[in-house]
Amino acid sequence: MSGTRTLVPEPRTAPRAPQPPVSSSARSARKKRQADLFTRRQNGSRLWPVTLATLLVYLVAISTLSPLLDGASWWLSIAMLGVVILCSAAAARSFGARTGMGALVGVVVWLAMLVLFFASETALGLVIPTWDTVEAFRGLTADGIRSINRQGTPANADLGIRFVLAVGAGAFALLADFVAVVVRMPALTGIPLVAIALVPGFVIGEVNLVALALCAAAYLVLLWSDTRARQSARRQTHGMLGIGAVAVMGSLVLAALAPGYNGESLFQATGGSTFGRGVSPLVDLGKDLRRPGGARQFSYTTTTEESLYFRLLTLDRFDGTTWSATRSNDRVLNEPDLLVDVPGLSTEIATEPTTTTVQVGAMVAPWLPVPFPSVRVVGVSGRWLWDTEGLTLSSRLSSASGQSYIAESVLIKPTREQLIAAPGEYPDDVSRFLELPPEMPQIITDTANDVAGNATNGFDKAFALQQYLRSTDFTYSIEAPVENGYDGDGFDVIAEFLERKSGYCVHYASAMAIMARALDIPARVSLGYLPGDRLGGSGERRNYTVGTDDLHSWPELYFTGIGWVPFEPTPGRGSVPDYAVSLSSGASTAGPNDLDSANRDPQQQGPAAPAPEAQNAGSAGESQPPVGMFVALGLIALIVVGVPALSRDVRRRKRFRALLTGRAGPPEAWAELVDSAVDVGIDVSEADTPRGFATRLSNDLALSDADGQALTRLLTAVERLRFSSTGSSVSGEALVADLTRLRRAMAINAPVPVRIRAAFAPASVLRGTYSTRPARAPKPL
Amino acid sequence: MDTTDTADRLDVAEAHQLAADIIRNVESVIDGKHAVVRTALTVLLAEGHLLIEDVPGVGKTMLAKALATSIHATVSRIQFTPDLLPSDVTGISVYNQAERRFEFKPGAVFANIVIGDEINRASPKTQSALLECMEEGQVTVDGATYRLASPFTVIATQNPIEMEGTYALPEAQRDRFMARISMGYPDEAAELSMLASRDISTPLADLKPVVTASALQRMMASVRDVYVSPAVKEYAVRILRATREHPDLRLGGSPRATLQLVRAAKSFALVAGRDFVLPDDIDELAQPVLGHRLMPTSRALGHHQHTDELIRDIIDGILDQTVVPQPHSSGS
Repeated sequence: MSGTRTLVPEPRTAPRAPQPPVSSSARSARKKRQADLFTRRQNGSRLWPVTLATLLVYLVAISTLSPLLDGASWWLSIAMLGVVILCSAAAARSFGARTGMGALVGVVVWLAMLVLFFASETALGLVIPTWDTVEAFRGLTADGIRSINRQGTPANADLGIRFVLAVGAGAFALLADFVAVVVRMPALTGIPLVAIALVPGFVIGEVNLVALALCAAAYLVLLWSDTRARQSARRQTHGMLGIGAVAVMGSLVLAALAPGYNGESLFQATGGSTFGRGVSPLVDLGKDLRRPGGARQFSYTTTTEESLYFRLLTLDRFDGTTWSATRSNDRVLNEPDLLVDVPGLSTEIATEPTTTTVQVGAMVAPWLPVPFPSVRVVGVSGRWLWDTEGLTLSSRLSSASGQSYIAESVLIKPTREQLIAAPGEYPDDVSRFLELPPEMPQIITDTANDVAGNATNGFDKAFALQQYLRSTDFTYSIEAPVENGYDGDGFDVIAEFLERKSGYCVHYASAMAIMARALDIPARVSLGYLPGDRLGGSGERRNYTVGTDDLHSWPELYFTGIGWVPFEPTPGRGSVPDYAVSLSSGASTAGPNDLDSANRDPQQQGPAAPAPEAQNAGSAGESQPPVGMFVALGLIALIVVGVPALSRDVRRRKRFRALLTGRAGPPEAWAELVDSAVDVGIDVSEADTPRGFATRLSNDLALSDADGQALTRLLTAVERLRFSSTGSSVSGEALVADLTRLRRAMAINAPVPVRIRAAFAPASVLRGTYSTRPARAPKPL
Repeated sequence: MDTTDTADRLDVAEAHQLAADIIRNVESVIDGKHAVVRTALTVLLAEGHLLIEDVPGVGKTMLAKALATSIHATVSRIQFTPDLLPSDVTGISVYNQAERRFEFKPGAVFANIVIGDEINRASPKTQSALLECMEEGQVTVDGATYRLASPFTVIATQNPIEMEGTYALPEAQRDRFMARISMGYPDEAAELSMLASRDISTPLADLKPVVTASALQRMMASVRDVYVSPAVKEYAVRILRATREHPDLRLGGSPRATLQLVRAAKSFALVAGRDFVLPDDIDELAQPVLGHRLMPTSRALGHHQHTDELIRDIIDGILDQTVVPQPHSSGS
């Protein structure tokens, strides 16, 4: 009989079903359906371990977010969401739903839970969404994104953040379920997992290696449970785990090497400290603004309705290269009931006494944040010095960190008329605020004179300067000018700023102060914080929290009889005091007396509140989207994609070498053949006999005679070795030659997309050698 | 039956050649039924008994006769009818008046190949008389035991039990047959060629034996020497165990079924020219060897008109899902 076929000496001839007796097709269809249901139920039950492993991955993934959010209640609710989604999908499969249908059940449960927990009052019967629900979700999403943008870390997980988290985490759970259970390629869950695990690194510049190690462990458990579910050979299990381990280690190394957002090492614990004690605090401010995370600095409770700018430091001396502070009029705070005067303030000006209780967090700085102008500070510990001119508090030994104190301040409320009427003569002690080094660039004087035009009084000039800098000619950017020390505030930097018309608050404040001095208005620069985020409270107790992303600097100009008056030339940050609001177009600024209202209040959000950086940068605060993150994620994706291809190649080379040196025989050659076939999409089952597989291979591929003989030789060799008592004596060279020939034949037969997939995502590596078919089989033993 | 004497064996090539000769000879009278003929020969060489079950007129008896004729051996044929007596099968002691003693008249069962035609037409009593002979290889009449011929093979044919006037074989008796095959209708070409060659002549009349009984015995000895690897044995056991655990089966395969399956596979391998068994041989023989031994649950049967169809699907399903054991060493 041999020789009658080219492929196998003795092919299967008798079909297993000799003569199917006639039966109604409906009957057999029903029988088939029942059998399918039975198989699917078994299959579904078998997939439970995979689901549990996916759940573990999910829990670890959401746990990595814990450095970003306060408390544990959010974790519990998000964890419960994942448990319910994944378990309902798995339960549906256990009841006989197809795997895809199980995923659909998961989606439905996810949506129902979102409705139930976040908008049940808008839904029919608690879970059926209506149009109102969609609206509610839209509002919640906006709230959440705003909250993420505004809050520092660890953020308070308010309703909006929880909603965004529930949407994201639910999507992650469903994606993981889909990839691991429906597509059966659990290795791919590594990509979103690593993405999530790296989020804290990019947000707060801190990579928690323990968290990454936990992620890696959960990922390996998932791979392991998947291979278990397939009942694959032990060797395959090790292979899969090895690949997973390599991918995870690669990601870890990459995460460790990835540049921090501010170019500093990711392993330092940042976020708490601000303001190095460098030469120029303004230069440091730029760095702090770009620091990712917007760490919480302090919180406060105040009695006023006004939004308070908090001042750390007043910079009064400008030497051409930088602004700096002179501490000429220091007085020691520890004197009981020390009450300082507000310099230059006359009794004609309306004031509002305000009491503010400040709780400083982890802010390490030799200055205390106080509202301007504060006249008394009670409760602070350590030795603190008042700068009675700038009304700031500094210490050479103590730190603001952990301080809790009450600041009494007198908010000055001059009218526009009072400012216009202020005389152009200044007291002697103020004249030093007019000093400018002689080497001032021409562009600064020219711009100042152009902008001031024919304004006659100091306020009109100052107002013109502010409006010029706030005009659409200028753009706010924290990133654009960073190279070559643009963080500075000296003449050359300001000249370049006026040229480029792009920079951040330091440039605006410095430019306005210098130009004001050029126009003979005493000016200085203040360094401090914006009012921050309102947490709640009303009346006499309004609570706010302030983060590093609220860092700010602004100019103050002196008007005789009124004293130091702040201006706001920076577009998109803070808001303009009401005396300096443009009369002609009220729309160009936010409402009076409501600093920063636009950012905080969605109803008032309009074109007047550009704050584009804050919106884009996500939780990175006042920053650009981190390009580094995308590069890193791209590289990680590349590793996850590249590792399987590479390991496939390594495996093949190893086998060929083993064959040629005689260390391996026909079974190894056969395994390579099976892997190659799996790669090009030929279905392989563990229930296949070598002969059965060879028959299907030759049927699928339409092999030439020579190729068919090669296949027959391989088949005979492996059959002899496995099943006969004599063994096989085929040489390694012959096996490799036959293998190479067959691999080529398979490649030629496959369409181009399949060949690409075989090269870059070899199924034999990603899914194990065998298809899902044996996984469905009842356990034979 | 001496298995240690190597002189009594044929080597694989010779055995393969002889088997091919027999198959060719039988196929000269039965067209287009290569697999059936091969399975029949397989059972014969494995020293098993064969049950051919099909509707009348498809060549059951022709196959049995052709196979018997191809071997130079004693052949007897019993046409089973309802009034056939057990003694007609086994033989009877007759009183010889001349010699004044009882004398044993051997029945039809004393032959190398016994063709039992339409076995399900006989009464259960007669059926079991034959089946006892098959099991024990001997006949006991009036206290005297007579050994049957060697080799001894029963090829029984029967009509499907749905036909009129039949007594179905009980499970226990079906189990005595190594395999049950079904002829099936010939395809169009085979039926046409049959018309061309056989409308006048009796084909069996021209059939000549191609193998002697002793050669057949040596082939049988060679079958016993065919190597079955542990992996294949494990595979067969897995399949049988799966039949016992299958939710749709009331009765799975007995250990005897396992034994018969492996023995048939050895014979099949030899017919194919191999001295070792492949899992594929097991696959090939699972239907004929197991088909008549399994009994579906009444619940599973409820959806099926035909038991056979259901059983065939179940066996196919088990074969599709049973994992072929992989040897764990990667080298030799």
